[in-house]
Amino acid sequence: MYKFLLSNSDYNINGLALGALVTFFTIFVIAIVQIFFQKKQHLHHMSNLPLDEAAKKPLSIIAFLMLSTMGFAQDGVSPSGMSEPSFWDWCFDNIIILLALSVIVIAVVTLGRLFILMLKLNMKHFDPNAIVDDEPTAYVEPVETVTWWQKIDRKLTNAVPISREQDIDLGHDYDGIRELDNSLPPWWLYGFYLCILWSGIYIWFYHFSDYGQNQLQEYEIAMHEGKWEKEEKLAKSANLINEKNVNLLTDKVQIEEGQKMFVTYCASCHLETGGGSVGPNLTDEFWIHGGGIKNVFKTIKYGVPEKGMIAWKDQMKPAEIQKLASFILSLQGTKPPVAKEAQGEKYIDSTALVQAPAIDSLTK
Amino acid sequence: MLQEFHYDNKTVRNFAFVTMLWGIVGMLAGLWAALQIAFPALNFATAEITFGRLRPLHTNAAIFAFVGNGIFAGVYYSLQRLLKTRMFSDTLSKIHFWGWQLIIVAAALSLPLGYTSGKEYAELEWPIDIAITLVWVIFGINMFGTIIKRRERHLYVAIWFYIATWVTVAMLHIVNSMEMPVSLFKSYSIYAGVQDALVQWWYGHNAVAFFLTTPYLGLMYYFLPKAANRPVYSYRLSIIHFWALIFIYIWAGPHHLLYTSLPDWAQSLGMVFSIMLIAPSWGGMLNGLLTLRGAWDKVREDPILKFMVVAITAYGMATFEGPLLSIKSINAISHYTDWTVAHVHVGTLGWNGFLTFGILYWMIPRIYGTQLYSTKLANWHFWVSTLGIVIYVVPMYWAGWAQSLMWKEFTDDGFLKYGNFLDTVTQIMPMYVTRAVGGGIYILGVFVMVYNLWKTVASGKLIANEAASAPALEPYVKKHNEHWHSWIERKPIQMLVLSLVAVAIGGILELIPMATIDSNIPKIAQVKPYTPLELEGRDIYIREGCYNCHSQMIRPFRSETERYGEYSKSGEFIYDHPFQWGSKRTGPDLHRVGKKYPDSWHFNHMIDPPSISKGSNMPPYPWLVRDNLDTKYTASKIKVMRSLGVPYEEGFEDIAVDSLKQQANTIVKSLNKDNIKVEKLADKEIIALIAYLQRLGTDIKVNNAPSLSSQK
Repeated sequence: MYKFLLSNSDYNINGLALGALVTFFTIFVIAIVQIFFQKKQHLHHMSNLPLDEAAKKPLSIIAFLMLSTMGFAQDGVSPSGMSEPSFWDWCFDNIIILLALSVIVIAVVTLGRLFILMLKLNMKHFDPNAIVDDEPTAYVEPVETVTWWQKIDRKLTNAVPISREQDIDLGHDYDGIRELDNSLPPWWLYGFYLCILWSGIYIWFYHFSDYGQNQLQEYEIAMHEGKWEKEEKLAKSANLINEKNVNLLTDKVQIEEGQKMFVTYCASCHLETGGGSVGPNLTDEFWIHGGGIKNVFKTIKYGVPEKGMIAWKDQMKPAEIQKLASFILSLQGTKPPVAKEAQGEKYIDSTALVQAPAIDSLTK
Repeated sequence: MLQEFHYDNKTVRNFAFVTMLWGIVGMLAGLWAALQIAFPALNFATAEITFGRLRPLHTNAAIFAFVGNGIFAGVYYSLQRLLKTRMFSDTLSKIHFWGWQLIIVAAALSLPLGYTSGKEYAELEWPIDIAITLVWVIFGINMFGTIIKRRERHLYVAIWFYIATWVTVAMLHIVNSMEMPVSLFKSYSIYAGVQDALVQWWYGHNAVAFFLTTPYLGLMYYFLPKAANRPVYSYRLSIIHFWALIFIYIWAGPHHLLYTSLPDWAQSLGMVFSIMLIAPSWGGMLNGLLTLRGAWDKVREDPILKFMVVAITAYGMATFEGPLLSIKSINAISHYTDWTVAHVHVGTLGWNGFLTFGILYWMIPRIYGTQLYSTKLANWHFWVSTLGIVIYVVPMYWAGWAQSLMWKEFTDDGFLKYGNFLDTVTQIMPMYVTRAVGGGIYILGVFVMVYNLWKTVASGKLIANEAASAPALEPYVKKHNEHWHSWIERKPIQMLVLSLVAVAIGGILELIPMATIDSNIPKIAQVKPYTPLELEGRDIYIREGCYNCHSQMIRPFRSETERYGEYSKSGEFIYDHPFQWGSKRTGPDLHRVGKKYPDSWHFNHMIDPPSISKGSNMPPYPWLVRDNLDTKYTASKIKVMRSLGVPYEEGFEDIAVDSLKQQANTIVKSLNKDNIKVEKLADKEIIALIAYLQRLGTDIKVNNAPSLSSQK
């Protein structure tokens, strides 16, 4: 999903963020208002409402689904011990499916219950006792039954009810503060045990078994995959351009693309006009590392690290370097107002030649 | 037989007032720093208030001045009442109070002036470190003196937390602040590189644990049951979660260094202990929230309980999120981003802030023998500040996720999609603005509180000595089969010792192997000590607090090595006293910045960053070109470094300044070549900084590019 957000540049990601913020915030405020401004009677009323089974089942299903996604989260963590966000990829890519799935399950369950309810109502017509009694019967308070959920809930919390609190009062009195002797909430305790168990397994997995990879092994794999990806793509695309076969572009659109890159990446050292400040002047005919498309291409690609010129080959594709170099050469003779003095040697344009001799000597 | 005595409320009042004062100062400093990130013009090109110096001021003020005084106010109030006695010594109380305020003032002056040891949350220089130790000892004597003359046989759970806090903070502060002075205002950490990093984050993480958490849990155990008038839910839970918490917490420090060059075993320990920490942390939250069983109707009406409920909930959220962030694969995303900032502020604004506010609203009317001036305003404060927290943290979460994903995104061709780091900064700029708005709203609420409490104070009169009575402590009658915990609850010294043992185990088992086993930090032959000029430049880097925005630790991820260069190795940092790995990348990593750009690039960039990097939010550093480099201490710096194990030859200190000047001249020459001409340029600070930056990460820099030098 994030890929969609980020790659769709028409979408302003921050607009979306603000949207999310406002939504989140509204929900949050409503929830808090609900909690704190709830009328007492209303609360009382709500707690006395007979909770319908049908309403609870879907809830437990959602809970189950959430638990299962958390299980996947653990998957993402331990075996692959991923270094790049493949876990998030998974989450983002599948959360919609999970949500949709849970909605469908809830819908099916609810429909099923509705069906059973209708069936029961229909059956009533055939119940001899029911037929006799045509008058609407008074509402009968349902007898309190302990559902499986409540049973689990009680087992998990194991709290002594407030009404029987005095039984577990320890009789401590610290400046009026009393202490109860409730037992440790079992869910908490078993959660604690589980964390300890998990920790043991983790340490075994990564330090004593043959399965876990350490961070440098992970790195090697990621680099290997990345290299393969890059090489394969480069081989396929129009990126076969290199310093030996590159041609000067003259197409206006392509030059403009080159200009954009120049402003972003190069202007900090060469000024937007190409007049040069930290880096040399690119508008005159003097070149330190050779003029002409092939030399300029090569200088951009490999850089001149000892003089502070960065190698751009890892950040720009060959086709992009071609556009950039073509733009730079389009600056020839523009004579910007702020310009560095000439450096290097005057370059005699030798595009007529198949290969500039300067390059020839280099590529050996 | 009842004994009459008086509680000392004056010290409580004093601490409560400065809590508010420093709270506002610290929060405003934070707001200002937040605005500087969004609007760099607010640095005003002035050294003393530039982000790198202001941010440590904010963190130190918020933690040690606001929360610190909050702890003392709450402890002085509750301790006397829980032990049914007056504080041990009024003189010590006074020394404690004024001593701590003096330290804060010293911090507020020295940090903007650039006196810093360069270790996050422990920036204060060595004389202040010593003062902190002394005042902390005085606090300890006063606390234990009070405990010893108590009229209550058993110590209540709040006091266990106070004791553990005291002993652990003492240990952390002393071990982490081990430094070798060069002058009155300058020292070097005795640890270097990876070891320094481990000690620092063992400290840093446990400053969160034992300064922001355990004392506040103690306060919660007193003020929450008092305010709700309900019994504590489970005494057993108190015992288990207390011991589990302090024992496990101390191990978790290395989770701040995941995927760094810290050895794998230490990283794994930090991670698994963080996971095991979930339950003990939540024990405190559960005992707090479940204490409110039967009082939830009160929560709807009483602003004090509202503050406390949100505080405890924020604590629960932060202590669940923390372990999640400690999972390596999640940390790979969160580390260095604003996600961490969001996480921290849920804890500080929510847990520490709101609990402090609740306590102040509860305590101040009582020591002034009056009622709170306005419940309505308190409610208003609650809603406003809650809103502030939300508007603060949500954009920060978003910013963290967005930026991290942008850092890691590759195009289908295998290139970094956002090769220009700045693109990932400008993208989240609106989030920085929103965050500042959230922080501003939070502070607005605090101002409302101060007004409300001001009016409250005006309507009452301080009960400086509050009369109380309690029966004298009867001699202890030995009981059969006394539970061991009941035994230790009446033995404060044993409690102190056992706490120390509990917290020392994790520290010893992590720190000692790192310091003694050589294989933990493989040596690299090419790595050499800094030249004198580079060393001076490094001290400027530290002084300006560059580590607040720049890391020097490239993690072994394809997305990082593509962007920054070869990943960092532990052997590269062995001469780094102190380490400068950083914890946040508001700007890019700098570990391999050396020789990446020409000297003139750095020169222009430091004076006016946006002129080189369009849209950059880095502040300008014009004074580096104005001020001369002070070489008075260069020789002693070399000597101190040698005493810490950096292999400078004997007598090198005598020629250090000459060597420094020589190197400065070569840099000036290269700057001149690029038309940078400033009078007496060789003497300026910026030359040293450039020398240091150009050295960074170059010792093992691999150079694969074909040489173009033969080209004509």
